[in-house]
Amino acid sequence: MTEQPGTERQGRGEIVIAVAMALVLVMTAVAAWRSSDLGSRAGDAERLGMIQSIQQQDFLNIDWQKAYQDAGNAQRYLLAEAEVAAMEASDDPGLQAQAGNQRRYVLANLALLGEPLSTDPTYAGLDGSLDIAQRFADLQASNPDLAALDPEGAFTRAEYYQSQQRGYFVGVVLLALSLFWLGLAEITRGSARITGLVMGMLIFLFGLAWIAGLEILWALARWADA
Amino acid sequence: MSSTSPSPLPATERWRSLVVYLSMAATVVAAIAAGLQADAGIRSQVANRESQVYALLASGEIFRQGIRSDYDLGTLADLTQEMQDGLSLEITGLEQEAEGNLEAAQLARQRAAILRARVERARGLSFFYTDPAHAPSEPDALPNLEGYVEDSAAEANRLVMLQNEQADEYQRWSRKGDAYVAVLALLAVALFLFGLAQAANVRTRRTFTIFGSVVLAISIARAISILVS
Repeated sequence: MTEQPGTERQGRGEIVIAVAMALVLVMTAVAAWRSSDLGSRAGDAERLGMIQSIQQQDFLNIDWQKAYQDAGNAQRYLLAEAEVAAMEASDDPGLQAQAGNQRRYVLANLALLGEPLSTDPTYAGLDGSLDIAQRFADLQASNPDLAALDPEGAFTRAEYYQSQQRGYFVGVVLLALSLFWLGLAEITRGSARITGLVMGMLIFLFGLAWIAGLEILWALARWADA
Repeated sequence: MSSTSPSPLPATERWRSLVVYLSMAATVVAAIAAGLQADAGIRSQVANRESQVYALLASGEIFRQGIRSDYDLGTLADLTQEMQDGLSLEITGLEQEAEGNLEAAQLARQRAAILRARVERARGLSFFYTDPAHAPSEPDALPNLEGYVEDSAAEANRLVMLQNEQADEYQRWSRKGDAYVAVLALLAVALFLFGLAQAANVRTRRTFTIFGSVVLAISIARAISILVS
């Protein structure tokens, strides 16, 4: 009879510890799910980034090819023009007549083929060269599909998710430590049990605060980015 | 007597408590090792992605450089050929003049003048004559073709080097991740031994506890060695 109040306290204590352990386990399961979800999102963002990188490189390759193709056509025109100018400058009437016809019928078509490098002065360098890099930049700027691609953005998003996932790993370790202390409380008696319970709950609360802080921090970061 | 002699029950309880402590310690170590394994996995994944992106950039650069070289060298080849043709026509003009064939000499000179005009214009269009680093130092000298080949490969080589670095980094983290998996497997063995210890009788419990502790110690030592490597 004299031991009954102590036994009751002990029983209550065990129930409290069991409930606390159940809470920690549920929270651990939630944290593990969230961590896995973040890993999955990071994987999706990385895959999107890789697909967009390939598409971007495809556009770049096409644009470089087009820029040099345009340069080749413009070069053909410019050389023909120099040739016609030399014929016009000669004192041979036959060559001059030939130059007139070439300017009228051939150069006009070559100029058309070499556009825009052959006619647009923005592509002409001071030394007479063609600004192929400028042509490439203009081709890129005029491609809306290319502008819509943002592989770096996708990779940055993947890194956000991965960083958050790492934060969750710390959270899960904290929850495991909390479980350790609660386990100690479960198998000990007296002051050791109270110490175990308090430590376990404190670490659990810290783990919860850590996870909540992570979510708030990343929500703020996403909001700031948006 | 009964107060001084050890009772079998407390000894059993002590061993049982020790097994529980060790099991929980193994659980915590497993949580940390799992976290480290996941971190290594993320790092290897990032390095693998970077390696692939650099490979893509390198292939794009090689493609771009191929088109560019084709254009630059094609321009230079045409220019050189027309320069040679012009020179040949000049010589022909002089020879015809010496032979008294003035009409043919004039025709050759006119054609040479046209080619000279084309060559002059082509020089303005050629990278080998407009870029100071590659242009000939003297009027009759050749452009710096060796320097051009070296320079044209430089960017692609740089990207390939970065790609290799990232591929090595991927291998390194991937190996670490695999090593952590081995640690987790050892921890599972330790936990299994502690579980057997819980279920076994007193003597067997001690044996399993000692073996489990040894495996746990090896796991921790291995995890630390992976972490610092």
